[in-house]
Amino acid sequence: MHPKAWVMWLLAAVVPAFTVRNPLYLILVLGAAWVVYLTLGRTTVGASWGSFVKVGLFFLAVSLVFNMISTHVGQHVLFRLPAAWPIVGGAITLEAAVAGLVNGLALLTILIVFATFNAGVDHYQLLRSIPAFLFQVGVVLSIAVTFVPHMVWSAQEIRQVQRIRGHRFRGVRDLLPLVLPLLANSLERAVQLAEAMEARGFGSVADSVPRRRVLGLQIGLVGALLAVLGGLSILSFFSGDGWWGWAMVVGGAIGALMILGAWGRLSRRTNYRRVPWTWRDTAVVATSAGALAAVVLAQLARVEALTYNPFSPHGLWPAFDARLGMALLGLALPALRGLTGPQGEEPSTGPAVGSGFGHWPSPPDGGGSGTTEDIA
Amino acid sequence: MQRVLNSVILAIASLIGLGAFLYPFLVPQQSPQFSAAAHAQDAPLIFLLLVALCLAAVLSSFSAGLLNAKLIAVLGILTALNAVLRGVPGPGGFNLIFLLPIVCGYAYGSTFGFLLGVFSLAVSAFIGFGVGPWLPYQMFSVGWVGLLSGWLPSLAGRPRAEAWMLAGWGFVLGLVFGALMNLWFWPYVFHPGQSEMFWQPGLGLGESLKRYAVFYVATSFWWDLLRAAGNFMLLLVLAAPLLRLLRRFQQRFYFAVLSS
Amino acid sequence: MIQFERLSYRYPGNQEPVLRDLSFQIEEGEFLLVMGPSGAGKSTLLRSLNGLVPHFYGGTISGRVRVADRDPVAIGPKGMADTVGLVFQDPEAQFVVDKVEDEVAFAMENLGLDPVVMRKRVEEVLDQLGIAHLRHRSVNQLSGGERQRVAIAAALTLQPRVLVLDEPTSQLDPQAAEEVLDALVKLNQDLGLTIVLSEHRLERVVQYVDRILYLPGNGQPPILDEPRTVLGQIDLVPPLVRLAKALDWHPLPLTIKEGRQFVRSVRGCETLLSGSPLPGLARSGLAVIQVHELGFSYNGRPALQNVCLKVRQGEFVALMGRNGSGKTTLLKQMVGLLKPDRGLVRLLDPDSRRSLDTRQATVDEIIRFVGYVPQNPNMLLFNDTVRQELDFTRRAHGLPPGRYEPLLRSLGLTAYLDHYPRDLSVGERQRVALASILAAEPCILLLDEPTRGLDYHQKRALADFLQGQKAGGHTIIMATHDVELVAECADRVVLLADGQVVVDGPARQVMSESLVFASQINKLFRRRELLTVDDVLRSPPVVEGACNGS
Repeated sequence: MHPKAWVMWLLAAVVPAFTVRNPLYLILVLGAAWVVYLTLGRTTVGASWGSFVKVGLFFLAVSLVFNMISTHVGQHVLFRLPAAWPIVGGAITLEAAVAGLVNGLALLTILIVFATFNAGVDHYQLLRSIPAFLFQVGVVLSIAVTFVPHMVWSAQEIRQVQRIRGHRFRGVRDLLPLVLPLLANSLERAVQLAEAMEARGFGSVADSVPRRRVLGLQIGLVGALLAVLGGLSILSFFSGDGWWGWAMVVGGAIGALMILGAWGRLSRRTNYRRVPWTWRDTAVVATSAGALAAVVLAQLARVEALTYNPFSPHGLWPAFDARLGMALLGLALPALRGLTGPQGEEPSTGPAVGSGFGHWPSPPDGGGSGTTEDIA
Repeated sequence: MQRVLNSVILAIASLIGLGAFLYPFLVPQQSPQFSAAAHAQDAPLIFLLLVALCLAAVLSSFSAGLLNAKLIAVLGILTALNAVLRGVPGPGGFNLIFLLPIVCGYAYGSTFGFLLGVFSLAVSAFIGFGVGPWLPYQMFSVGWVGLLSGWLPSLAGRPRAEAWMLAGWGFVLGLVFGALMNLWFWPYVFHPGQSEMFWQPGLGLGESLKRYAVFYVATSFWWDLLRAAGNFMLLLVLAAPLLRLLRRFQQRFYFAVLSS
Repeated sequence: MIQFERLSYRYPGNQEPVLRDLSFQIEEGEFLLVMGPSGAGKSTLLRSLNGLVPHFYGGTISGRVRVADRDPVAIGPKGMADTVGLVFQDPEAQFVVDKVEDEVAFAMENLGLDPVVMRKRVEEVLDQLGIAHLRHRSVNQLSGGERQRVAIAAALTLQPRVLVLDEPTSQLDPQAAEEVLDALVKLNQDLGLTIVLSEHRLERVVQYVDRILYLPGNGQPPILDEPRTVLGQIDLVPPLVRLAKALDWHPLPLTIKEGRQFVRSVRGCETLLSGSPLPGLARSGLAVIQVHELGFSYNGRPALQNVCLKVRQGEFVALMGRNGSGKTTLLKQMVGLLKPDRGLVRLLDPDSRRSLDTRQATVDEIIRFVGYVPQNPNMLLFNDTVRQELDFTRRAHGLPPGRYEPLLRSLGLTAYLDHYPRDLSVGERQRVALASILAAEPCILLLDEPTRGLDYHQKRALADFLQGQKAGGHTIIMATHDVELVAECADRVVLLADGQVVVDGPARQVMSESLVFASQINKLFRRRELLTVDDVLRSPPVVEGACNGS
């Protein structure tokens, strides 16, 4: 799948995860993300999936416990703690536990959505398709990502070498013989890299952007951001004038986005071979946009089913609107086979690169390419 | 002129970012037409999107003309180094993520420190830590660490005083960073209920702060104290030699062309 | 194509100009070799071709440079990118993007070329350099030679008129260097590309280059002429030329093939050449290192298999073999950094006669008498002065600061005692790293590839120093690709392949029986008595004057 389609999917999945507190919808989103993850078959940043799920479960537990022991409201009393205990004393209720679980579930859903995105998107391609106005940022990140494996290897090597020089790594002070050569090597390397970049014409197109255009765009950005800031201040400090505040925030944000877009068009830099956009990407973007639109419309229409209050007298079971549920189900579309599966026909991810940045330095030495003795 | 505008953009974006962190203290009692519960829940998402937008604005503004090949190469490589240092478990469970932004911000100026902080977090997300909802917040806050470090008074020539100053600074930052990063999920662990640790819109600054203090001490304060102490130790020992090294290389990165 | 008129350049902060009044001309399609001792300004000269000097480094420049009728001083490196392609020494410090194909296209993206044009040119250069099969690989997965070819491809996509390479093979092993140089020769011959190359390994390139530009340094005037003429005037030459000059062969042979004709033409020489009896391996003496059926693997990938080796006190052993054959791994086993999976490594402290098994011994016990010099001195050096560097090692060993004059004098470093090690040249850094290990006075010395980036003089000096150490009773084990260095000083060669010992024997015997690991002189005579120039010059027929050229 194209990285931009993934970004759209992320947005569509994350908005309900953030804004909806109805556990049924949350479970729907979480389930959709989980199914997509299960069908991926390959992971670029596999390591982060586990840690994200763990963090999410941790939040779930924290939320459950804290809500239970500190919210003493509700009709279904599970047990009581002595009232003399500060904060935790009082009735421990089922309602409080459910409230805690739902809050935790919202966080867990957000994390699972992000974890699925991480596992699914090709981080290298994501970096390559950074918008034009951020291309220099893209170059910095690209350099960094390219050098990380060597840096890790180099850190291990320095540690070993200083160790056999007699140095013992025991306390903080002993980090010096590791950190200093690492930093010095990095700085020396940076000078060489800068030379190599200039020799290959880096900066020649960026330099030709007229200064006055840039100044104009910057002034526009200042205005747009000021509008956002003003809107937020109105919303925070003056109650009652809500509409104005929102209008300024939204208007400022849209203005800023448009200015950034114009900025990107100033750059005459070109891109070698972007990832091809296929009908599958279009399908994912369409269903994601549908889900997103449904959630936003429901929010604007203040559909009751979006909120959930376990303490309400109507009972613990949440309301459910099937139309919204169907729209959210569309988030599972990338799970359909053939949409994200191994992209054999796309040259951008051949078997050798399958894992964007997955090739961490294998321990030195060994067959064929001979890492140890090559890396000077 | 361009530099001035850069600073203005960074200042406004930082204010918005700060608002994103501190909104739980600021949100007033909502007017009746905005159902408090509904929009209080939207706030995290809205701020997340706004923070991401601000970052994009600041970065694209900085990169126009200000970033030459040297700066980009140095930033790229030091970012890689910092991302690797983040993965090195330091003594006591804290990590080294602040070390370079503080020292480089102090030695090479606040712009450099800010960018290094921002990029470090982005890269570590790319190389295995994963993109999470907290990423824009982390990027901003570590960026601020570098930015503010550039504003410290220069004590060049007095290495001991420098080391103590940076160490104390690292300690303070360790605590502030922890308190800030917990804020983003604090409103999450709430239900418009009656608890004394939990956030509720419209509490007013004093009451919100009090509740947050209870929440913070109950959750991650001790962890953050450990991190702050780690920062202190690390900077006390490493700041002076690192600064010597960075200053040695400074002239290789900035110079004037004197062709005749 | 390239014109220099009275060019002088001084780095910022330096008193003396590094280039002084340089005037010469290079024709289109020429293959030019730039050579000279370290510090003579080779890199500076090359960088002035695309404007990195003075735009990147600052400093003061005077005179005139023209490359393809363009003025790099006025235009600057970014503007010259489509006229001059530049490839640097370190294959790792040039990459911006992780994937080969995108890396190759980077320069074209910078200049905003049309994507259709980019596709076409990427295909062309990938084919020209023979790296099309690597296109989807990460640059981190490539070998050194592949990396340099990718860097050359990346420089060629803008279709420059001149390709400039600054010691592109000095960080590579011989096979990889060969790959790179072959690619260059092909580019020059097939495409008529003008190539300017600086290079230490003359023996590989002299036969291909059209002319040599020799920069003597120290403000002396440069020499630009045909290879034979230039090599006849200077003493920084490969062994074959050194011998030919000593024996007065004319015209100077540049290749082994040309040299053989002299050997043949001098009647009787071949039969007369019978040197002294071969020294065998030391059969007595303490066995200070015993490796017994050693097996080791990294994450299931075998690196060493069933290695058996016994090194006696005072021996000088060369570990040779391809990249990835396990040389470094074996050295790391000997110093206890890696522990055997199978078998054992036993070390004997020659002073206390204590025997250590590396599986139980701590690193601290081992390094009391074993020193290990890594191949990259930058991994080691971090202190503010050379003196502190040596003090650090001694302190880590629990020794008081010592007097370093004799050690530094024998390494030619006396003048640098209070210098910042990273301000020194590659060769000097290498020696500082060596000194900082020797400061702890180990009696067994393990060296990993000590001659990378050194010129002939520096290599000779290193060889002399190591001989001195050996004479002082030290045991030396050196992993190296450098055949000439081994010919100069090793007693014994251990050849590793695929983690196994293939050959283990006296240096002369192993080297003369091998095609790959034979020295130039040995290839010339194909006799085991003759490995180095000195061997030939000391042999009876030469001493008697029977072998002098026509």
